[in-house]
Amino acid sequence: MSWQILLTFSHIIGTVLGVGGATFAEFFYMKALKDGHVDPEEGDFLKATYRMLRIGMVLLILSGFGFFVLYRINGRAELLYDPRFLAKVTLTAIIFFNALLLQTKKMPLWLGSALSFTSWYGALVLGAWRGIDASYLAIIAWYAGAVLGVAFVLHIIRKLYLKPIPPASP
Amino acid sequence: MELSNIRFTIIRATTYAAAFAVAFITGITITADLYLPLKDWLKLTFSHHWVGKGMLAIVLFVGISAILLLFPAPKDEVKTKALARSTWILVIVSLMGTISIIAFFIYEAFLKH
Amino acid sequence: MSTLLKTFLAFHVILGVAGAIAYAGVWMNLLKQKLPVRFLQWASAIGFFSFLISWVIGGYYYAIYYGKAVKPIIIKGQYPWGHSFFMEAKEHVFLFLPFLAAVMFVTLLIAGNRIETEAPLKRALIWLAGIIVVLGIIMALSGVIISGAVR
Repeated sequence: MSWQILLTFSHIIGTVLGVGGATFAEFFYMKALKDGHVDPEEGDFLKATYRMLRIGMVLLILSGFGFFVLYRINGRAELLYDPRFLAKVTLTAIIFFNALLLQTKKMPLWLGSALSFTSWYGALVLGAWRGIDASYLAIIAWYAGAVLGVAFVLHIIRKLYLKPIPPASP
Repeated sequence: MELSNIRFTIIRATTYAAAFAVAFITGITITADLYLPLKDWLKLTFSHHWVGKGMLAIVLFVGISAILLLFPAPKDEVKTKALARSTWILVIVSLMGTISIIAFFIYEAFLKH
Repeated sequence: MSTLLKTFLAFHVILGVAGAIAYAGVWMNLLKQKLPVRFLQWASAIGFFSFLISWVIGGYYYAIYYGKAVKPIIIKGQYPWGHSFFMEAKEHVFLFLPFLAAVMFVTLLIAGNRIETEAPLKRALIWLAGIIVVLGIIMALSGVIISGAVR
């Protein structure tokens, strides 16, 4: 098995865990909030999901830098300035700092979950879409628009799903 | 339960020694680029200027740690507050060092000529 | 580039990134109310030793090979600032990391159990961890830019 194949496997697994984790984190969190609070059992599900997300993130970053080393060693240095690659690195950095700001409650949830969701799926799309012909700034502009779009959609879903709890009868 | 004297002294010594090392690295980086005989001396002594900077920083770190280990905590000092203070000093020195080095090389690479 | 140098370059990058990831774990966990002390101690140990080894093997590559074989290519190429700014800044700021990591490692090892209840010390350590992570990220990204300029 070549390094390329090993790194590709690791990168795909990292992406699967990360994208899946981000999706299920949103799903479980909304489900947990349906009754207005997060039970211990719901909290455990969320913790497990976040743990998978972090493992995915670590695998993604390590394999991503593994690709960087491979390109450098094999004389493919021009790929390191590829807009797609640089955009993926940017999204990865956003995922990390977003998680930090969410943890310290300095990021509002509506924006934090949209950033997380869009960044993970954005990294997936950029990884899969080989022939993309766009500058770095164009990709980031699309990403910023997507964040706002996802924030709006998640807001609508939360409004519809998280109906207000009726007051307790006397 | 208060931190023991020896534990406090070790942490404080390494923290201040690290701050000195960071300040030293910043100073010798900028100075050696502005005063070439220093850079040449580092290259002559250590075979490479960067290796010399690293080795001198290590010597400074170990030496200052050893010296500070000889100074135990004053009896009335709140140890964890003192450690917070030394850590903040390290944080500030690191930030200033990073900004200084980056600013210096921005000047050298883009503005000097 | 010989196989040894390729291996050293690869390990320099991966261990440097691993160190940054380990300290990202330290940073995130220092922000919690209840501190997982054993995790913090292990993560800071892994981070510190990763940075140390990355320093030594990266330094070997840099001192023995980079100066005569890679630097001239970058300086003469399309992106000379890849060396004159990014490499110059990186090679010197990197020197901070092992010392910062050593302090974090020693503090967590010796006083880990005390930090949770000592807010001023905890706050200072959060900042220290943050600086280590941000510097680690800057180092990694600078490395990408420098390597991308080698053509």
